[in-house]
Amino acid sequence: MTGTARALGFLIARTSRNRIARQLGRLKHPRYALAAIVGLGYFWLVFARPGGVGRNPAATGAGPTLGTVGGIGFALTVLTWWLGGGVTRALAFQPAEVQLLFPAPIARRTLIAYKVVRSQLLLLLSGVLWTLLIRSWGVTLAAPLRFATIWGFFSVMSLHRLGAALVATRPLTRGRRAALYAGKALAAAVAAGLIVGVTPVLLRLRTLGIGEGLRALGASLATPPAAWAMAPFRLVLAPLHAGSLASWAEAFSIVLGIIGLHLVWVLGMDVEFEEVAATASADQAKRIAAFKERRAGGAAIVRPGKAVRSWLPLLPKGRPEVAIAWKNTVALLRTGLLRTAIMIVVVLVAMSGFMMRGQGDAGPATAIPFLTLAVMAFVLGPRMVRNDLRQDLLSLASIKTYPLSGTMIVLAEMASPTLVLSLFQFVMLVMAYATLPGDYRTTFDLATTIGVGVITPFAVLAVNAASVGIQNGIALVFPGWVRLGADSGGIEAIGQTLVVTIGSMLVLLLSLILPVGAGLAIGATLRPSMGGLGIALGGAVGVIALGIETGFLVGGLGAMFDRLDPTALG
Amino acid sequence: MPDPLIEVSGLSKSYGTVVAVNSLTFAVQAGEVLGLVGPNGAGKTTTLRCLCGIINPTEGSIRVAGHDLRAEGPKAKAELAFVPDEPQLFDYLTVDEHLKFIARLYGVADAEARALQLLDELELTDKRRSLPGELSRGMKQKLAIACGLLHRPQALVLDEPLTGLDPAGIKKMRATIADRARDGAAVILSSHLLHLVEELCSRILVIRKGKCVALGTLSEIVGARPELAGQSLEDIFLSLTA
Repeated sequence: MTGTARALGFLIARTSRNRIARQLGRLKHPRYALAAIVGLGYFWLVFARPGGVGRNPAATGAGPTLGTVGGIGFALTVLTWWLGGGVTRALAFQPAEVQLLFPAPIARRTLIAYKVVRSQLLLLLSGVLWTLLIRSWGVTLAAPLRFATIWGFFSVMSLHRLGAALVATRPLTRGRRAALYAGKALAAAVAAGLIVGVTPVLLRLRTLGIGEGLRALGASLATPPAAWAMAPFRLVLAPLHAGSLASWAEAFSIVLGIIGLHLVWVLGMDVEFEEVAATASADQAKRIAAFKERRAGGAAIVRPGKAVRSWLPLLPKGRPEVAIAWKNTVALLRTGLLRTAIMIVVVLVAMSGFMMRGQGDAGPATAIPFLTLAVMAFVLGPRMVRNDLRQDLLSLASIKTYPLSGTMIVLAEMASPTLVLSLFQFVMLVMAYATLPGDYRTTFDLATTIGVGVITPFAVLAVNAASVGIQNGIALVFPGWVRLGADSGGIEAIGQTLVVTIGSMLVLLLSLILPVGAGLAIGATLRPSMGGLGIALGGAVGVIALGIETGFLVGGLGAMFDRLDPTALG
Repeated sequence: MPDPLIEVSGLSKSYGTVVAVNSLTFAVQAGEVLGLVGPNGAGKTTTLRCLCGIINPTEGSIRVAGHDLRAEGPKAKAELAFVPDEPQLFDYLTVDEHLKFIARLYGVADAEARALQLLDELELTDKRRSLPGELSRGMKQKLAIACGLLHRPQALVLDEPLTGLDPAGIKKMRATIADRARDGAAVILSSHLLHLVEELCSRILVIRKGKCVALGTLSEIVGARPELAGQSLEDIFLSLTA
């Protein structure tokens, strides 16, 4: 082994060892340990529990579907690399690798070999996760064979992408230009075969339905010309459907052969890839940073060269707290969450309309998508809409210099998500009511309807304020539970999300007991004598009680904010 | 003599058993620039963060423009600006919107004219509609400075303000600091650039391991330690912090 290979081997081994040691070391802290236990418990419950999902895989009948969908996905992915461009992203290295390895006296082939070896760590980890996952999708292979099959599949994908990237790296030599055109021509032929084969089925998909449509799609892929186009992809996926160990070994040996050929291809090329790789690496680093910031609730979507619209005005004079609510609403608009919410509404309503088409009188079902969205927004909204203190935790040092008391800062931070969520839910509830057939709307008398109608906006606002307040409270009291750090991920992040979600729901339910109890009791007492007004009064008592509780919460959080040391957030 | 604009008395900050700042007492008058110097880990940033209300002192009191920072936090902070070494900006607000936000927060009467003046002065006019993600490190620093100066603070606290600025930016920033002091602001400037401290600061506070080791004008410091006479500020600094 050469000195270079030893150094690169040392880098891979130490990086892996240190990363694992850091992950394990964090388990000494109770919050990470608890999160890891909950995360592992969740995985066991969903994927590995005897009697859990996939206990009787054959009964699910999902195996052929997995083969069909997986095969098409695989083929489309490879075709995109050859015909769609952007494949040179596969040449991205980590920033430190670009800075330290590119100027070092290391041969290009050695750098590519290093990249191939390093990518194996990720492929092996992915293999473990997918081994658990496809068990629940009806694949009957034993776990080690499932793992080897998945590893083989991912290795072929990874090597082929790297090879395609190296072939496409500019400037093109004469040999690579020919290889690139040959690859594109072959991909175009495969695409044509697939289109000719599956188009007739796709055109009949609406009449066939999902189950029958998938079966017909599978059959069309098994007959020429689509069968010829799919042949290489079927070879890689073939071990997945092996009925015995011998047939699996035979299919898998072909996959190993394909991997070997790819290695010869990738390591055999001597391409000046450094410039393209450096650009791809910088782009990748930016994308990762933006993703992490978006996950934490920050980072606007920046499109180079496109002007940023400022259509939400802020008057120069007035209460300073409004500036914080304005800032957070601008953040919400620019991080794309609102656009996603609108898309979800449109898709859900369209799907609902499509499913109910031709079913005659749908009755109250027309209101279901809107009601579902309103309820979902109560449960998930305060966790998803994070344009408050949770987003501003990273800017805490700046915010603490503002000329406002802690209580007013907490209140101002809570305002934007509370108002936005309330507006969304109120619109959904109005839509649900409006889409109800007339005879359902007259279930209650007019006075009751007006009473409920008057109190609903306030109740929605009060519940959201309490819920958003609880989420911000968790951020202040247990900041580590809200943001584990930029490098957080994996099992403990899943566990952390579960703990926070369940914990915050429990606190919200507890805080609702008194207001709801008081409101119901007063409403039920007054309704016989006062009708709709009695219901409105009962609701008002509940809303006021919840408002007082939230007021105490905000006061407490304000005092906590004043005492909070930003350095404690890590 | 009028009351100082920044008055620090017995300031201490501890993290568990680690004492980051130990009984610091000093004051900065209107029009004065105090240089805060010390080796890495001396407690400079912790001191500045205490002064701005970002972290609470374990002991001691801080008054800004006559307001106790702990008892009258919002009033004290309204007269104060902090420019950190690492600019903290909101990713989703443009340059213009940052200034509008700060103007509303601090109730700046002539916000629009003031913002235009600062954007021009700091050469950010062309970047008014840019998000921080589209700005270079130096431009981000300039925006942080503009945010700090917008409300004409009486007390200005600067932590390594020249980091990331180009030579033209450094020259302008030096002039800006001097102008602010001339206009009657009290300025505290923390920097490792000793020539900058020597040029701009009327007095110097040298700290080591959280403790004050020297406070005064350069001649006062040398007067108290005759063995330092004739040495450069760099050598004086090294002697005091060794």
